[in-house]
Amino acid sequence: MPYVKTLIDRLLSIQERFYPEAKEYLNMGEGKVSLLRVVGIDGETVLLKCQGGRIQYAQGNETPLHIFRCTSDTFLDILSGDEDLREAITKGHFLIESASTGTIDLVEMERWSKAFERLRGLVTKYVAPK
Amino acid sequence: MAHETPLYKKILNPNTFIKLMLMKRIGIVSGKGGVGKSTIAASIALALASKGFQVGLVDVDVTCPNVPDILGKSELEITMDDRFAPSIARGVKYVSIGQIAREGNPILWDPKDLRSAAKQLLERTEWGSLDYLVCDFPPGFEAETLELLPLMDCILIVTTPSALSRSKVERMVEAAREFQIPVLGVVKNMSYFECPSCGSRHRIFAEDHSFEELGIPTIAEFPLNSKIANEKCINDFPVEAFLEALKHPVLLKKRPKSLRRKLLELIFKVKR
Repeated sequence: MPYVKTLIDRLLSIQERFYPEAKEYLNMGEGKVSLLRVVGIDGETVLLKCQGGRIQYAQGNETPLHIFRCTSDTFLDILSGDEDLREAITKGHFLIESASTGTIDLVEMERWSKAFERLRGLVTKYVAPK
Repeated sequence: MAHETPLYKKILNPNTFIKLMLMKRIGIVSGKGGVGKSTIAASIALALASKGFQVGLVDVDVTCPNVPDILGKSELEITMDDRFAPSIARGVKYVSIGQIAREGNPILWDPKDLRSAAKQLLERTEWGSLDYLVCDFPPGFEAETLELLPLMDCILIVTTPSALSRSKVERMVEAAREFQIPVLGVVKNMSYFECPSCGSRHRIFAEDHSFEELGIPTIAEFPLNSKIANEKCINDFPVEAFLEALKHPVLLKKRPKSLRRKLLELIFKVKR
């Protein structure tokens, strides 16, 4: 099984456990479809969609408002806290694009960066630092 | 995969377009970096605001923003309709990518994203009704400049009076001719050093260029001094001279077509 699919399968299986902390993200995404494209080290791509408060595999026929792109390395870096989302976006590691223009969406970028910073505050409060 | 947007949504929102067209859009440009363009842009905005005008300042230099270093790095708020609420400092509304990117983090985006980001800073900010919108451009002809320069009502060229700078001013003047954008004039920055003890002026650059032969007036000349460097803006910017120049910007005519060229046009029209 490709590396990125293994990674995503494992994360999706534990997303329920993190549901309360992810509420802010879910509220932001209410009613919208965003696609997350994760590219693995072996070149394999997994397309996920964020809809209805859950992250699922995308079918490919969705009509998203935004597309988020990153490599699996960046995905892990952000999840682990090794890389800040805002930093990843400015360095071009994590792209938030408007599906209609195909270019970066600044407002969405600022919105997600702020949400990430608020959530990170919550997570670091309860999780022991490494 | 991408969502097919109807054409009417792809063009600028009519409300935004009308608001942008009603305000006087002034581009502050330079042919090279390090001439003090952002300092001049902020100084102009602050001077206009001090005269009671409604002024906005947009930092179009996406890869090297300077405006937050001058006016303050406050967080950008997002309005209910997905737009930026500009920060306000000393009566000037301003917005910059420097308020989104973390200090020390480079912006490493594709040129298409740089153009889009610059455009979004201008169009997706809730400016309200402004008398003047001052746009601080990156030096030279970056992607952001090519995207937004045609939208300006006029430009002001900032330069230092060095031999290297002269050709850059000429290029900027030619660009203004190409885009048919009126030029207010030139501001010569770091033009001389004034001795704090005796007050004598020393020209730092041996040559002191006038740009009159290009048809461009010199609006103002500023010294190299620690006060400006420390305060990061010129508190006594000559706003009256600037407002006077705004009344009579110079629109450089495109080169006239030669007789041979007109003849060819005639021939091809007849052939058709």
